[in-house]
Amino acid sequence: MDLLTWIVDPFTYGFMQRAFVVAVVSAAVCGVLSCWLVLIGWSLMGDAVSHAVLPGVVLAYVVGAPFAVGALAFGLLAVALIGAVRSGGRIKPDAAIGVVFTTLFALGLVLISVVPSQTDLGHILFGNVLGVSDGDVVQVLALGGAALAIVLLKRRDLVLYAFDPDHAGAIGLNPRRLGALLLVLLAVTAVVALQTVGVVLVVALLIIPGATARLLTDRFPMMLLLAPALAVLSALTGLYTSYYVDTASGGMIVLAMGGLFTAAYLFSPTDGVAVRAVRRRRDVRATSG
Amino acid sequence: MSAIDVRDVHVRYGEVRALDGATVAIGAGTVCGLIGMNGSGKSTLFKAIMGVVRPSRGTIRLDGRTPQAARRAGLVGYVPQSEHVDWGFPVSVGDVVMMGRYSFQGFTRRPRTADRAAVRDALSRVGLADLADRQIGRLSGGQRKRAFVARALAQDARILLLDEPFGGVDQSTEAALVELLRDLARQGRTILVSTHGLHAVPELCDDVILFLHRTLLHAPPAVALRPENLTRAFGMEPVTPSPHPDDEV
Repeated sequence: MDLLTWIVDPFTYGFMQRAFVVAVVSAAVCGVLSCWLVLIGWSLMGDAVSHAVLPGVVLAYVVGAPFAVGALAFGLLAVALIGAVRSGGRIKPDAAIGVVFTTLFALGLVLISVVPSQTDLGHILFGNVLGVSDGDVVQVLALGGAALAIVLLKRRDLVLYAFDPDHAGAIGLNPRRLGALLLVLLAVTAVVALQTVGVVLVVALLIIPGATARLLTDRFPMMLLLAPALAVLSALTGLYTSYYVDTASGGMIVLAMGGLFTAAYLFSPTDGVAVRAVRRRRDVRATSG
Repeated sequence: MSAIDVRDVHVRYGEVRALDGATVAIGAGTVCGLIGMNGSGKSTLFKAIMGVVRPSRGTIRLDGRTPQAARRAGLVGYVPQSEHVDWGFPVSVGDVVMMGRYSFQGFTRRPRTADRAAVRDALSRVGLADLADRQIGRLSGGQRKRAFVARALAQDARILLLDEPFGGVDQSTEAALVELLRDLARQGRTILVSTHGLHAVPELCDDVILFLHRTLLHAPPAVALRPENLTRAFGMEPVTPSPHPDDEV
């Protein structure tokens, strides 16, 4: 089989076309948002929101609503609850996050066990990108496109919020509103990524691309290009591998991301662990010889 | 009229009284030192002046305006404490200074020619024109402070608040920073500097406020730095008087 056939062959199937669209779009949107999440330190928040959508997804299937509506409702509910629980001051933020998202996730598990339906727990938890419908594609495109547009239009305000919220306040911006905007975008993005890798692995898409890009550059605009590019590359790698080797697609995509992160960690021209080790050894040899 | 006029301001965080009837009046074009120990409410006073924290009682006027109006006008520039800045953040010196221009820009904050010119001017004003493209953490301690002063200049702030600007700064850079701030005051900008180190105070400040949740004493440096007065602000027994009070007081 020649290379062109190899590349084009998966696209002869409708389900693979939809899988590629959903995976590439969700990877790109997550990649962009991940730049802010890793800089602010919101990994746990990403994990929380993505788990908390589970009851929303189940209820949406039960009442026959689009899955994104239920998921988004519960994602935003989780954000609001976490804010409420931590605002008292006695519960630390990470504890508030831990309490809220595990409770909502558990509610989702219980709902699945009592509600008679065709929803497959495995598909929600681990993704089912090879089984998305045309309707799902439309939802992913609409939400992903909206999130991407907002985050790119407001990127400079969001960078200021991440870097120096006090200054944002001092020049008349509203840091709390910017934080809330970012959380809503996080919820939307988590919903977009849901079908690609599933509830459990959404956080990978929300963190790994940004973390990898951070290792490769000191420029935020460059991060904003690298992170989605790496995410899309991982999505494509994962899908092709799962098509030809018959492995779990969601797991394969995240594994590819982890592989890219490892490569950047070892071989980043500025910060790579292996690169620095080689440079040290060369320095030692230069001074001793 | 005072440039900074704070009257009987109270701020509480739950049970903690951060500001308890604070009254502060600072004239335009002067440099005022705000001296007090950690937890004395200096940062809260700054946040109240910036309009980020709303007092439960009292009034604040900045050039005659409310803090909210002053915020919208970009009247107050803020130089944060080093410990509160993420120096690894992937922004360049020029990016940080450009953040001072946001209130002049539109919805997406796309920089215009005037903004770029203002950033260039501000950077050369503080002597960092050659380092605009450098990542912010790759500056020395004194350069970092000057980068944030440049941001306040790009913003054209009339009032500058500096939170502990001399932390982690060596003597010669301290002198350069003092000179820069004196220069800005001569141009009519009002500068409030919080510090718990006293080294630079006599050269830098026109007057000094000793602060512990409220103003204990507002006087020229020579008077305020007398050991018996410092004792009131730092709440301990008089130390052996010395001509140059130590940074670690």
